[in-house]
Amino acid sequence: MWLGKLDKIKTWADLNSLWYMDVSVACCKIEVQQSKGPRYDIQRYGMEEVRDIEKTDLMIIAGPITFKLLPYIEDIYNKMPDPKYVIALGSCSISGSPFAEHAPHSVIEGIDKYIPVDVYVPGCPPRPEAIFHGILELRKKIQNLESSKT
Amino acid sequence: MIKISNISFAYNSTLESKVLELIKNNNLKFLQDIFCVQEKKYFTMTYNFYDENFENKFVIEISEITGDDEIFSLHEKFDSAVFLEREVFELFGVKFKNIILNNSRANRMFVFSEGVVSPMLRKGF
Repeated sequence: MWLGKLDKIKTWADLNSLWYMDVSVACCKIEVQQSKGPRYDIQRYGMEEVRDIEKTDLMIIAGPITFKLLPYIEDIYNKMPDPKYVIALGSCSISGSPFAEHAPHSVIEGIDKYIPVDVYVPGCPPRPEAIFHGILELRKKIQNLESSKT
Repeated sequence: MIKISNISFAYNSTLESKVLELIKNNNLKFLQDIFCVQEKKYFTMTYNFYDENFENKFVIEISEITGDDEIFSLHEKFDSAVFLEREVFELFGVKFKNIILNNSRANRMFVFSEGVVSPMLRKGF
């Protein structure tokens, strides 16, 4: 009984303190920065940007990811503590989009071919509202995962 | 390499069933983007779809849409269509049969308190 209650507390804490690392480039970066600002205020979901890999729960990957950047992203993902979540933001990080057609030698065809992705947020670039929709979907997913364990 | 297929239609009122059939037959699970371009009086919409594994890209182009047409919405089939259709509606004024957009009390994404008038990218507005 006590363990069940502790699990509920852990889920509540997980949902309300998703600390994230922002690994974004290009125009999607601007939208991510907008969502951090006072108008949209990402912190109302208890989300805090961190630079310490050991404290990271969530990685937000956005923009065209090049083969040069990929090893660093994989390294960050491998060093993140469990449970770890990934959001792929924008057309380029999801599938490479125009870069996959015109510059396949330098840009990857989707980050999900290299690391597992939990939520895809489509758009070119997605608006902050769409980013928050993705975050809420991730929270639902975490809640379902935790409740299925107990 | 991603395989790319293209198909284009001229807009008519019975196009919805054709597009939905294409989506079903090609097992398209992901709507990545909707682009809109205006050429004089007409609009051209481009839908980018992907299959489950992001290996096949399917591009559907719908042309000859006039400003008065109310075109079909994909928001019931794809969650992402809600935001993408809202962008097209607010920037170009293309109307969709979308419950959320048609609600007069729905907030606009691009219209700020400073008073930006929508649709701001529509020529001749």
